[in-house]
Amino acid sequence: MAMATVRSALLRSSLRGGSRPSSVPKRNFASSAHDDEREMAKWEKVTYAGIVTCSILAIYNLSKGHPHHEEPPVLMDFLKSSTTEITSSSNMDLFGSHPCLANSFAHTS
Amino acid sequence: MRPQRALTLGSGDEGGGLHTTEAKWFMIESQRHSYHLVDPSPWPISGSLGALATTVGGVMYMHPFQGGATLLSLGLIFILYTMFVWWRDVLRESTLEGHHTKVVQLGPRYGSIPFIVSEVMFLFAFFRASSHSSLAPTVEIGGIWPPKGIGVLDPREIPFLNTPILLSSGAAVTWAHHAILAGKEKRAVYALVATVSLALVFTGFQGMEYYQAPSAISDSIYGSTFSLATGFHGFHVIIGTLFSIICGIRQYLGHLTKEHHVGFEAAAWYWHFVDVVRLFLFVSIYWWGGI
Repeated sequence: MAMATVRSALLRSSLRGGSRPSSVPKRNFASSAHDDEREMAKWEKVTYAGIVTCSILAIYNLSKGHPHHEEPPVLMDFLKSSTTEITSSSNMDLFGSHPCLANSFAHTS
Repeated sequence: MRPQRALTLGSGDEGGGLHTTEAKWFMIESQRHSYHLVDPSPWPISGSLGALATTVGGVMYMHPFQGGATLLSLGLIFILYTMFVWWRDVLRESTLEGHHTKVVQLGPRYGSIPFIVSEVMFLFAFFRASSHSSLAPTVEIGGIWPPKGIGVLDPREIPFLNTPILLSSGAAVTWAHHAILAGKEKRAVYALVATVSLALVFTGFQGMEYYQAPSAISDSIYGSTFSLATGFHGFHVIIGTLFSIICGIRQYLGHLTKEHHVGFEAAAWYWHFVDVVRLFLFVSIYWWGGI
């Protein structure tokens, strides 16, 4: 009976092994709540400093103006896909010369 | 069945709601192990069907088939619905039912690492494409970078402004993390409001930048690589903003505790990843690639 009790206790403890808080390493940036409060205050100040810096930069950037492109910038035609037309004399003929592909293009167009 | 028992016991004994810690210990005592054996869920198959409908609908939409747009829209709605209800269930299991013990928390924590690594590799491809095209510019683009005739943004203007905005947002999320660890719930909410506000300002400026950009995605390899890299980064910023908004709401509702805030940690890691990518983006695409 005693043996069975010990065995049962051992089995239970082994099954519960993973649930013990000490079995999982504690991960923290700081070692205590006090340190966390200090870190919190530090990062709060960093955030406010960042917001002030960004506000000054934004005011500077927005006040000095920026170039407006009333007319589209001059581009070389072959760089722009929007101006490159696929005509029957270019790609379609290349594929269309094959009898199978010619049929497929005929169906889709 | 098991969670209901836990909640009933808790509310009967305490005369009120069940605290997460009590629920957790009750689960451990009744289960005799600390692992979460999930109940059968319809969401994996519903998500798969949504993905199938999206793929087939997308192909149909891009080819001359009728009903492609409808199927694509339905598939996307189905995926979004699945995401919502699946995450709702996970939040219930973790926060209200106490299934996410310390050991279970390791799963999503370790899972976040390969997820973020895969995101890094995804964005690395665009940096690599830009470097490939700019380090040895071809004859077709004039043998120079930026290509001949392509107008580029001044990196000292909006791009330079947007970088510290996102970095400040990263500082704010660290402030929120320490506030949670220190048990300062209200400060954590304020910090997350600051995080989200800065993120929205960033997105607004990014939109303004695209609106005023002298070149578009179709303007040579410069426009393609620039738009893909900055566009996908912007998309990740939007995802991270939504993630932070959810964390802010959960913090306001008291879901996050100093011992249990894995969802917030994942959001913070994701936000820092987005921050780091922005630094590389500014240095390599805007600055080095634009002068």
